[in-house]
Formats: sequence, structure tokens, C-alpha cells
Amino acid sequence: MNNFFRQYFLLLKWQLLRLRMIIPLFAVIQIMTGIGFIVGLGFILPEIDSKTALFFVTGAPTFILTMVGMVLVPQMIAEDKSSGSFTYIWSLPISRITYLLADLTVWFFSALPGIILALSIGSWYYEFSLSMSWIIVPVTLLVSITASCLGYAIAHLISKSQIILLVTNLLVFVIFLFSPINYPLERLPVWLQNVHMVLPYFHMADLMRSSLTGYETASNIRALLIVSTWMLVSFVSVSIVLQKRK
Amino acid sequence: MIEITNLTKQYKNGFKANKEISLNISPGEIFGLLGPNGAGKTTLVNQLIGLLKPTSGSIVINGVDVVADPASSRRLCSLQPQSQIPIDGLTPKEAIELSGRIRGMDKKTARHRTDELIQRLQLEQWAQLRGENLSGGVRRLTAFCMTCVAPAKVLVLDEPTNDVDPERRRLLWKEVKAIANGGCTIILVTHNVLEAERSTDRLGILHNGRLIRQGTPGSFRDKEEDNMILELTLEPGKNPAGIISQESNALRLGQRILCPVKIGEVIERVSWANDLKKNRLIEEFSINPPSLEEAYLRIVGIGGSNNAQEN
Repeated sequence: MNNFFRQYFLLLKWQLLRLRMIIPLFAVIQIMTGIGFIVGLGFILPEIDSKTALFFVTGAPTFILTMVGMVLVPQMIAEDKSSGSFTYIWSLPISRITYLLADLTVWFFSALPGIILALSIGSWYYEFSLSMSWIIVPVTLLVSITASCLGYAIAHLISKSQIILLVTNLLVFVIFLFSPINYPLERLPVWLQNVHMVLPYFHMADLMRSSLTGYETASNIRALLIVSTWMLVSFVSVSIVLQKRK
Repeated sequence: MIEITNLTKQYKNGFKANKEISLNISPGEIFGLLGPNGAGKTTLVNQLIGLLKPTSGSIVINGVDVVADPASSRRLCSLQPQSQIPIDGLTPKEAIELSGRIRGMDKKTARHRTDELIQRLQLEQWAQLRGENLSGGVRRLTAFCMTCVAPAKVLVLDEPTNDVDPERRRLLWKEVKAIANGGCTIILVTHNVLEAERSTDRLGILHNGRLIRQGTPGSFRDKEEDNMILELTLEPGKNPAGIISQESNALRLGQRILCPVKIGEVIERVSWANDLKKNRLIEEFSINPPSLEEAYLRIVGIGGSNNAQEN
């Protein structure tokens, strides 16, 4: 166990040092996204009421976490694959699962400034207050790990880096416009609603929104089960793929 | 001790990158793996390090079957890959020390060994600069230090001197020899025949996935029947056909033509080369003992009178 923690913290340090040039830039982009996301809403919907604004703003954390996990993570992995850097990393006497956990930690913390800023600005700008409970911590972790593991799966199941970039660009479009993260599920056609009952996006947003507003819904348990299943399946699949010798 | 027996690797697309390779390498030995692009060198070392699974055959390192237990292989071996190691964001000092710690060294020992390597390879002026600001050569030297910072039973160095300046190449080879003297087995993968000749105890030549020859660098040269090599350098733009047609065993390498010469014919052939020079067909000529480069090129079939291929 001591060896696990030793390796975990050393790999975390390795990843943080490698990304220390990118993280400040990333934080600036997150801040701009957070502000742009909330203020931009005012341009799309000038007559926005407080209830709609609350719905939109409480969708921001899920949006940011899925963008980081399913777009940024696979793009960074694609770059590492092209540069051949995994050849070195995988030749080290480390557990690949420990490496995965260290990387997931980095991405979790990278997304936090954007989330905190989007929620703070959103609640101030649209004049509502959030009612957060401790449950926000495990829910944010669950959503972050699920999104990043799915990102890892995309990056490691697709062999060509250029295709990873294309798929993640498509995902931005799908997540932003066709996933009921920032608008109610009922606005989508029935068939797409059914698809989203299986996909994780709607359930991630549902869980996150409940933990931010304090309103528990009957669907929370189901959402928790579905997102947890996605997390388990993606984590186990990625662990198997990472440990497999070709 | 590395014992490789009947190692074959066939990829999913059916391509056989390694075919029935058998090889033993002793502790403290510097073994060079030579071969043209696509010969199967990287596939071989990736199996050794546990990154690829052999289709058949065995690899035993210090009595451990590393095909069955690839994690052991990563504890026993340390790899400097051909591609650059990603050190953007890290300084050479941080990268080397952290690699040592990941390989199990305590902080103090890792720091001490890092300082020692930086000093021995004369990297002090770059030690505190971040990776993105370093030249290819300094990054390559940093990668070398990251690979050898912690003690290992086997060091695998894949093209370790690419982009490195001549003075630091010399320091790098000095360090490699010091590590080998400590009992570590070194496997050097390279295209650079001259470096392989100077730096290794034994060489293996891989070609089309097979280990077609192995022995000391001297043994390769001794096997050639001809005693001397007449090297002609063509005048730019001159057609070598006339010269090559007279030389049944000539080897063409771009502007250079290597002709084997029996020791008794040296004077006669030098006179012939001098005439070629006077007629401005060649720019210059020299006569040398056979080199490993020439032997290597003949073994892997690069060059030849009907083949104007550049190495």
C-alpha cells in the first residue's frame, strides 16, 4: 500500500510538472469559458427568468467536466501517442492503473477553477443562491472520473491520433447541442430522450444539479446507478486496455 | 544474463517482425544491434522490456521468464526509447531525479546521482532550463540520464546519440562503459556503424526479422576475403557506370564507390584510380583496410554495382 501511494504521488508530480506550462493557460481558458458561458447566455436568451438561469448555470459543471474528460483528455493522449511518449512511460516499473489514477486526479483538479467560477458568476449575475451539500464532492468526483475514463477509452481504443481529434471535435458539438445538460430533457424528440436515458450526460447533469440546489429528485438513485455503471465499465475497460501487451 | 530463444513476433496483420531469434548476452557486455530500417530491432527490444508479447519463444533475464512476468522485466531493464522522452515542463535535473525516484531510489540518492550525471555529461548550463527550451541533443542526453540514473540489470539504449555533439557523445560512451563495468548489460540499438564498432563488445545484425550474423566487431572484418578497400569519390554529376562495370564487386553508396582490392594488386589499382582522377571522373580516392561499415553493407545487401542506394 505504501508503494502504491509512493508511486501515485511521484506520478502525480510527474504529470503536474509536465503540464505546469499548460495548466495556467488552461486556467485562463476555464475562466474565460466560465464567464463566457454565463454572460453569453444573456445574449442567447435576453428575457431569461431566474429559474431558467438556475437550470443553465447548474449545468455548467457537468458541461465543463465532460469537455475536459471527453475532449481535452483524449486530445492530450493523442499527442502523447504521436510523440511516442507512452513507450517511455510504460517501460517504467510502475502500475499502469496507478498512472491512470494520478492522471485522473490532475484532470479533476484542472476542471475545478472553471466550475467554481461559473457557479459564482452565474449565481451573482442571475441573482439566485445555491444550496450545496457535502454530496457535491463525491458527485463531482464521480462525473469527473467517468468523463475522463470515457476520454481515455476513446483515446486508447482509436489507434490513429488524427481520428481521435476528429471524434473529439464531433463530441463538442454533440455535448453542447444534443445533450440535455443545460436544458430540460423534454425539449428533445422522444427517440433522443430514450437514447439519453442510457447515455451518461443527462444523468450526470441531473446528479450535479440536485447536489447544487438541494432538490432531490426521484430519478437521482437511477442516475447514480447509471453514471456509476458507466464509470465502472469505462474504468475496467481502460485498465484492461492499458495493461494489455500487443 | 539475457537468454533469448527462438523468439518470433508476428503482428495481427500477419507481418513477422522477428523470426526465430536466439541470442545470449552476458552481464557487463555491451551488445550492439545493427540493422536497416524495418529489420525488427525495436520489436526485439520492446519484447525484452515487456511492451510487446512474443508470438513464440522465450526471454529469460537473470533467471526470470519475462514473457510470463513482464512487470519483472520493467524492474530489471531500463529503456531509452528512440523517440524523445516527453520532458516539456520539466528541467533536466527534475526529470532525471524524478525518474530515479520512480525507479525506487530514495530522494537523497536520486539527487546525488542526478548531480553526478549532469556533471559527467557536462549538462550544468541546461540543468535548470525547462524541456521545451532545450535542443534535441540536450533532450536526448537528458533521456539517457533518466534511463541510467537508477541501477538496472539491463540498459536498452535505442539510438542514444542522435543529435548529440561529438564531445558529449564521447562523454556518453565513457559513462556507458563505466555502467557496463559495474556489471550492467547494455543493449545498443543503432544505425551508426562507426559508433557500434568503437563502443560495443559484440554485435548482432538483424535483417528482415532474422539475426543473420553475430560476433565481435573484428570478426566481421576478418570474414572478408579482400585485404584492402579502394574508395573512390565521384566528381559531382559524373556517371559511374564506366567505373562500376569494371568492378564486379563494387559497392555504390551515393557519390562513393567501394572496391575490394587484393593486397598484391594495390599498386596497380592505385595507379588506375590516379588515372581516373586525372581524367576528372573521380574527385578523390583513398585506400583503407576493410571497415565494419563495408562488411555490414555487404551483409544486409545495401549498395552493389546495380544498386545506387544511399545508406
